Amino acid sequence: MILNLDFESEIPIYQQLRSQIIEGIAMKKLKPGETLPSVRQMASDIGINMHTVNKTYTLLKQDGFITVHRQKGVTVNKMNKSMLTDEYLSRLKQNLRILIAEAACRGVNKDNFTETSLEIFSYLKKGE
Amino acid sequence: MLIKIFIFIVTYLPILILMGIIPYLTRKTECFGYTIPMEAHKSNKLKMLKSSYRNKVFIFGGILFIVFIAAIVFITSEFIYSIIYIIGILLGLALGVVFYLEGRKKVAILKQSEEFSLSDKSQKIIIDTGFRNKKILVSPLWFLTYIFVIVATVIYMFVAFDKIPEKLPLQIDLDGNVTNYMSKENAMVFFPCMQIFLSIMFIFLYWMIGKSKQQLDPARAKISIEQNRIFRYVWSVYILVTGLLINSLFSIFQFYAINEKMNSKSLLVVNVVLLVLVLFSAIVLSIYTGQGGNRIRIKGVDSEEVRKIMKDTTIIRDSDDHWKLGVFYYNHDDPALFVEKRFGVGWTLNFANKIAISIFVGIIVLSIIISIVSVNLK
Repeated sequence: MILNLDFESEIPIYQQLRSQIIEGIAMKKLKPGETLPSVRQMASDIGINMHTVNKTYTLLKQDGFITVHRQKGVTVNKMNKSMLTDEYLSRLKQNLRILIAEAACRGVNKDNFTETSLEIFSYLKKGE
Repeated sequence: MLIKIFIFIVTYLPILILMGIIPYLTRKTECFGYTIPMEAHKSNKLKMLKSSYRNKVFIFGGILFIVFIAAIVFITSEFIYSIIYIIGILLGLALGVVFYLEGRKKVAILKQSEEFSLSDKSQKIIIDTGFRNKKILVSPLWFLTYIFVIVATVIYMFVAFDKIPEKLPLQIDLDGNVTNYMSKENAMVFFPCMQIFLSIMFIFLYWMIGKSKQQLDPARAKISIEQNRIFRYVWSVYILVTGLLINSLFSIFQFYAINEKMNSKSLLVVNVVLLVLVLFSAIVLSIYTGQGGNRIRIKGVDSEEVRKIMKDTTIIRDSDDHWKLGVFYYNHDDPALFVEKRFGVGWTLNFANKIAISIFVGIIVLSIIISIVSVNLK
């Protein structure tokens, strides 16, 4: 899949990488078993420090999205129900809380918010 | 004398032609070593810049060419000829540098104008995570042919040891006379070692083509991925074949010693033919692919779609700061060893990378050592 990195964005590169890879997995652009470039190769292709890529891969590994093998390289995991942990759910609620709070302040009502969420869900499900 | 002129022509002219047309082979987002917006590459100002450079290179290069041909015709000493030859080529290259820097200065001025400004465009980098899973290099198994050639030659020389004369030719002058010999014991070690050393270099170049940094165009992602894939593949084939031909050349040198029917003139011819083949195919290939593959037509993408895509406001990230004089890439934060050239077709090193520099220096030092050793080995 194609990764799009914006060096002028406020969002740090490691975060952009992480988000796009997760989105890629959700949209089936990255299939289970598919390999990602090694830390060194990825860093070299993008032109950034290996630590940044390492950080991304470590986070993704911790959350169960990828597996990092010494020999086989980096592979995308098959998504399964075991990833739906209580810890994740509480993190999700926390993040949503901030999003909804700001949306409410800015006048986004419940229906708009739900509609937008549904749109995003169907867009991701559709893939590309 | 005809041979001397011929050799000068077939080495000087291709270099001159290539130098003159490089501005037309670079990526559309690059011009004289600077990043420019995609739409700007059609600008008339740029077209005039490019043609001005080209004309200067051809005119001055042409004058130099005639001068040196005249010098060759009237000078008989082989030693002076080789000096003239080297000066001729160096001067030609120096001219190219002068006109390049001139063009570069003009682009720098243009970059300050509205048409060439990049500040209003978002600067991105795109990469394809699956790029290296694609067929970007010719199969490495082909390098087994190198082993075959080297081993077959060694065995053959070993078996035919008694038929080999005591001294083997090492150097031929341009009249076809052998000027330097090596004892057969030394030669039977030296030649295969040279072949192995050169084979390693070619395998290294092959590897480098695969490893080099992905440089894709955000405004036309899918197209530039396929173009770049073909670009790497085609040049990997070129490297493979050139290496095979050079290995074969060394084997032919060794066979010459055994086969009395081959005279030294035909050795010279073989040398020159190889040289011409390698040089001309590099030029043809460069024109076909352009840098990064930007000249390659991808089937199934019609020009309307391309024009639509090109109006995109995202462009490739401006890394002018890291490109010293537009040709030397120096980026301490970039772990990449090899990147595509900005002004030219092919790849170059990241000079801020210690490994890259040591490879560069290492190859030069090794070549010098080998040259000295081969001359002194009797």
